This record gives sequence, C-alpha cells and structure tokens, in this order.
Amino acid sequence: MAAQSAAMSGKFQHLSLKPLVMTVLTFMLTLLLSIILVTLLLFAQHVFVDKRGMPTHPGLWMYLTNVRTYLQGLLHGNFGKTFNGLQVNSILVVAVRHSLQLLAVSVAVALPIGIAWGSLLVTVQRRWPRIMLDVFSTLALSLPSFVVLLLATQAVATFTQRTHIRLTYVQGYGLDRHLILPVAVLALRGAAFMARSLAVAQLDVLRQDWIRVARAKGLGGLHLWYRHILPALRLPLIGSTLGMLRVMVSGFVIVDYMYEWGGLGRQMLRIDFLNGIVAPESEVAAGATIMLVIFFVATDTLGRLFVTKADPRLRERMNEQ
Amino acid sequence: MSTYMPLPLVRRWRAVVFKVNATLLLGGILSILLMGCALAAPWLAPHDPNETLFRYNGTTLLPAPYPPGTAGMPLGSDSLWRDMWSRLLYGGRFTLLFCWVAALVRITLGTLVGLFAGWYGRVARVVDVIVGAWSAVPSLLFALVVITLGNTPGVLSGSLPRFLLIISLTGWTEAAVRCRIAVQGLRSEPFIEAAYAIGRGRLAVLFRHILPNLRDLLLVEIAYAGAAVLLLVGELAFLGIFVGATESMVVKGQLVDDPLYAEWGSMLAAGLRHRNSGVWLLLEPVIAFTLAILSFNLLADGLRRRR
Repeated sequence: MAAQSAAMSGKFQHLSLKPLVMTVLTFMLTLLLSIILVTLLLFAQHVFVDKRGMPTHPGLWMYLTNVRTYLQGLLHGNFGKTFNGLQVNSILVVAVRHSLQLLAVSVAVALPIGIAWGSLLVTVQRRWPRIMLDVFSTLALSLPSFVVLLLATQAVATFTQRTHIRLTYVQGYGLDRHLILPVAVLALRGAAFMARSLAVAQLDVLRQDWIRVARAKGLGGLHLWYRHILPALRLPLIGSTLGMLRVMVSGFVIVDYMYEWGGLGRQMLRIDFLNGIVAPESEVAAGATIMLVIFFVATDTLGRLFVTKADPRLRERMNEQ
Repeated sequence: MSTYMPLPLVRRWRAVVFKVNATLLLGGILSILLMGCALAAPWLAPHDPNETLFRYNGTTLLPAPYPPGTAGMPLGSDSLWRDMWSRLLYGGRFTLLFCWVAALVRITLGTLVGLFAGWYGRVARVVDVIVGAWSAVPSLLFALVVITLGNTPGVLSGSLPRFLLIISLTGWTEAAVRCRIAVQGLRSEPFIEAAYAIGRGRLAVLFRHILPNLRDLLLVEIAYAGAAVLLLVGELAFLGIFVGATESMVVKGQLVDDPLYAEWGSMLAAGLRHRNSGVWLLLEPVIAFTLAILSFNLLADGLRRRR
C-alpha cells in the first residue's frame, strides 16, 4: 500500500501546487511593485505643477496624497477622470481593444514568418544566400521601429502620389487596409527576433546525436524537421514567442504614437509639444502604462508557467525549492 | 630534437585572430570607423558645427536648407545654414561617447545586482521580483517622464547629467538576469570550491574568481547595451526630447528647440520637424543612428558567437 502510494505520488509529482503558488505569488508581488513604481513615476510631476498644469511650489505631501488617492481608486477599479471630465476607464477600454487587435494580427503574421525564417537561417548552406539572410536579419533587428515606419510611410505616400493607387493608409485606425503598415513594421521586427533566437536553438538541436542517427538512417528534409527538430524546439519556441511579444510591445508604443492607431501607446505618450507632459492627463497616461505593465508581467508569468510545464528538469527543480 | 614553442603573446594573438568571425569583423570595422570619424571630427569636418554658412545668388541670400552637394557642404545644410556633415561628425563624438558611458553604467549596475543575486540564493527571489517590476515599466516612458520632471509646461529639455542618469537606470535588468544565471552556473564549478579550500573569503571569490569569468558575457552585454541606449536616444529624439535642449521658442509660428550641442538626437528632432523643407534633414541623422545601432548589434552578435 505504501509502495503504491509512493508510486502514485511520484506519478503525480508534476501536479504539485508549490511551483504554481510561488509563481502566482511572484506575479502578484511583481505586479504590485510595478504599479506602485508607475504611479510614483507618473505623478512625480505633481510635485512641480498642479492638476491644471500650472507651476506650483514643490509639494511632496500633495504628491503623496495624490498617489495614495489614485492607488485607492485603482483598488476599486476606478482609473480616475481626465481634465475634461471623461472617465479614464472608458478611454482605456477602447485603447486596450485597439492595442490587442493590432498585436494579435501582428503576432499571427510574425509567428509563421519567424519560424520559417529561423529554419532558413540554419538550413541554407549556399554562401551568398546565407550571407544575405544573415545581413537582412541583423538589419531587421537593428532598424529602429520609427525608422522603418518613417521609411514605409514615405514610400507609401510617394507611391500613392505618383500612381494614384491607394495601397494602404499612412495614419489612423481601422481593421482594413489601415492594418498593413503598422502590422508590417511590428511583424518585421518580431519575426526577425524570433528567427534569430530559433536559429540559435536549432543549431544546438542539429548538433545532437539523435539528429545524426536520424540522418544516418536516411531521414532528411521536411520529414526530419517535422518529426525530430520541431518537437525539440518546443521550449525555445515558447521562449522566443515571449521575447517576440516583448519586442513587439516595446515597438508598439512608437508605432501606435506615430500611426495614431488609438491604442495604449498613444495614450501613454500623451504629449502636447506646446505643453509637455503635464498633470491633466497623468491619469490617462498612468492607466495606459498600468495596462502595459500588466500585459508585460502577465506575459512573463505565463511564459514561466509554460516553460516549467514543458521542461521536466525545471519542474523538478521548482518542486525541490 | 627541438620542438617549436610559440611565445605566449603570439599564442594569444593567434587565438584572437582565429576566433574572429565575419559578423564580428564587420561589426568591429563599422564601429571603429564610426568612432574613428567621430574622434577625428576636428580634422575631418570642413566647418565648425555651429557656424552659419550663407550662400548668395548674386546679392540675394539663398534660403536654407541647402541640398546635399552644395559647394562646401557635401551633405547640405540644416535650416539654420549650418553644415550637416560637420554637425554629424561632431554630433557623433557627443552621442557615441554618451552612449558608451550610459552603457557602461547600465552594465556595471546590472553586473553588481546579478553577481549578488546569483551568489546569495536567498536574495535571488527578491531580486527576481524587483527586476521583473523594473523591466515591466517601459524604458521610453521612464526616461520621458523623469527627464522632463520639474520642467515648466512647454519645456521638453533635459540636462546632460539627468539624461545620463536616467538612461543608465533603464535597461540594466537584462544584464542582471544574464549575470545571475551565469553566476549560478559558475557557483558549483571545481575552481570555486578550490578557492574556498585555500581560504578565500566570499567577496574575494566573487570578485576575483567569478567576475573575471564573466568577461566574455559582459563584453557582449556592453555592445548590446550600447545599441539599446542609442535606440532609446533615437526614440526620445523622435518625440522631441534630446540632450541639452534649451527652452522651446516659437519662431515665425514654429516651435524651435535651440540645442546646446551638435548631437544626433537634436538633429533627428529638428529633421523630423523640418522634413518638408528637405528630406535629407531627416534622412542623414536617421542613417547615422541606424548605422551605429547596426554596427553595435553586429559587434555584439559576433562577440556572442565567439564565446
């Protein structure tokens, strides 16, 4: 009976709750800390200017009171009001929807391209195509999002002006041709990141003995890739997808701002070049940033959970801790 | 019978030469070229970066900006009659130096945190939470808010020390995480146990045995951090914030920031504002930024492959 129970506990060891509890605890703490950090950061301007953006005497007490009031409101799901009296919650709902739409389409485009591109980086053996692929990957990773967007916008504008054919729009929100430019910019960078990290992981897998054995037995091409390489890439795939998401979200802020997509990035950078970053819109900026922070922390935690689930060694180590 | 024994120095050089890959070579050459041009700015630049160079058609002053290829101005002029080539060279001096200093500070901070988190297992989880929270705050927002903190409305400037401090304080988390993982890997190595066995203290082991073994990792991280700092400086410039901007003034209905230094960020911000007067005003600083970021990324990639 005891032996049977020991066997059962060994069998269900991977279902242990401890790693899950630790991950959730870490998630909650990280989230709390980052939200406090964002609030402290965004309301810091209140030490120097009042809620209407007018210069005031430095008031640390007022600043701390504002932060406390805001955090108390957050606990009740209230993100505050804008200077014009609009509810920040309603602005954020629209912004989150727009952002998720753009990110979802970009990920859907970038994921298959990144996987195929990563495989090409490893499998292409001819010298010049390989060099071209390498250079293109590094270029796609190195080009800042604003540069790609500027160049693309300029190219589209010139094309439309010369041919009178409207391929896409260069600004604005819409689930139609409006998507082409921002998705292309975000997906290019994301796919390049994914391709690079998958290529590194794939090179490691290709050096393994079982791949040599499979090759010696006559397997090759897509069959080898699908049956032996792809399953071994499960862990790096999760890691690179998360990395890709991070790269996309960090590029998203600028793309959203420049393209006027109406997402969280635009709300986060509510800058009027004449008025600077001033207090009246702090609530909107804070709300948008908190949404982005939640997204970042949740992605990280989900990634950790997936990786732990997929890697038995990591699972064991987490159980031991 | 005598055997050939190469000198240690020769052996070391040979190891260095044979470990160079194409990416490292390309990145290294590009980086050296860029930094060389920036350092040699006083000799390469035909004019002072702030000198106004007027061109006349007869007695009429030609309006700026002048296009590339204008006599004495190979890359044209900006909208204040200043030579773009000279400004790019002098600006590179400032921007690249700034970027390397910020990258060094980032990596120093990240390494210290990573060393202690990796070495003292108990603090690892706390450091994980802090690093997770810090890296969740978008660095662009962090820089943007703190740089403009305390400014009166309408002023998007930031002083050099404030810029340097804020840009160094963002982005150290990646280095900290990688360092922590590397230290955790090294902790159980036999040479560490040997160091303990001969009576070395914890800090001595950490700084005299572990830290030197992180050299290759840190070189890669510094190169990546250099590219990341440049990217952030570019993005901030894109939003109109650059090092040493003075108060914004409205000149003939247009908002103008008068920069204190010839710097790539200020050139990009000005180019964006005046791009309709001449596309080169925007294109030239953008190319400078892109080339520098590309070369540092190539350098980092090459160094990573060499490890």
